Amino acid sequence: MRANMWIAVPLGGVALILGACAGESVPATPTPRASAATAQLTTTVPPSAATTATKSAATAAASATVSTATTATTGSTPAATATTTAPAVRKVNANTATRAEIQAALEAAGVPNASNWSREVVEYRPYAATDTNWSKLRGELAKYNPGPGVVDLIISALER
Amino acid sequence: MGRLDGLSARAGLLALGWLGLTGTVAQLVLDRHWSSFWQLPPWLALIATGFALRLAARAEASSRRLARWLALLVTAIALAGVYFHIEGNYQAGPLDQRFSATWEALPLATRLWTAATQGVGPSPVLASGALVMTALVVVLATGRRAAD
Repeated sequence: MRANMWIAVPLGGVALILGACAGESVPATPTPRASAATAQLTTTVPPSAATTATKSAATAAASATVSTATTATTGSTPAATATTTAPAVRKVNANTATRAEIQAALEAAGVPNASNWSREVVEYRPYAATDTNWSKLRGELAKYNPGPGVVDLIISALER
Repeated sequence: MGRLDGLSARAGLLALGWLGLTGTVAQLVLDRHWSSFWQLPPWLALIATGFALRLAARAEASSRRLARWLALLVTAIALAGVYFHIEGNYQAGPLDQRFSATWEALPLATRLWTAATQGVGPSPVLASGALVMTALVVVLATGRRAAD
């Protein structure tokens, strides 16, 4: 029994320490934590389709930013805007591409922290072809509290 | 309250162990804790815990000794789980819109504390600690018997 106690006592100590370690963190910035749903619902707005960004009230904040920028662009060069198409984003296969390839595609799409996001994309493979809205990936990425539009930017660079 | 004899105490501990095992399985199922390779080790630990609980109920000293070794393995996996959850949260810092612009500039201690207390990232830091408790129950249930 004494031998057991040599094992049990340290294990008990570890358990108590683990139980006592919970606490609250201090956010680095006062920005309120946006809901994951908002991040997911935000619509990616390529320059040629900026007007679609205002369709959803849930994406109002993100849409306002993008719409303002695009309005300024169209106001200065209306003729050019009328014929401009969204820059072609090279899509990579989310199920088969290497992490480096995914990272490159995300960087090309303008995704911030592309390296870290590519790791997450790889981690949650595979992605079913029947999941047309990328629900699985959206759900997983939303846990990270990404900024508005980031998830859509990521998905814009992926295919199956 | 009556006094527990050794047999009753052992049975109670084993019952607690199975309860902990079942609860942890249920939680992992609810979390769908299988979406990547590194989410699989806890399942290995749970299988090991099940074997350990079965062995702990047996009379042979060798079985109980093996149960204790399995409990040690489970504890190691559980502590690794705590580490990897903290590490995962730490890596998620730049992805969180609240920290994306400031994460790298924060002091290391602040970043570590924020990750360890789940202020950032999706991983529940102490969840795998439940396995440590179950392993402790196994060790306590393998105490020397009167016949030993």
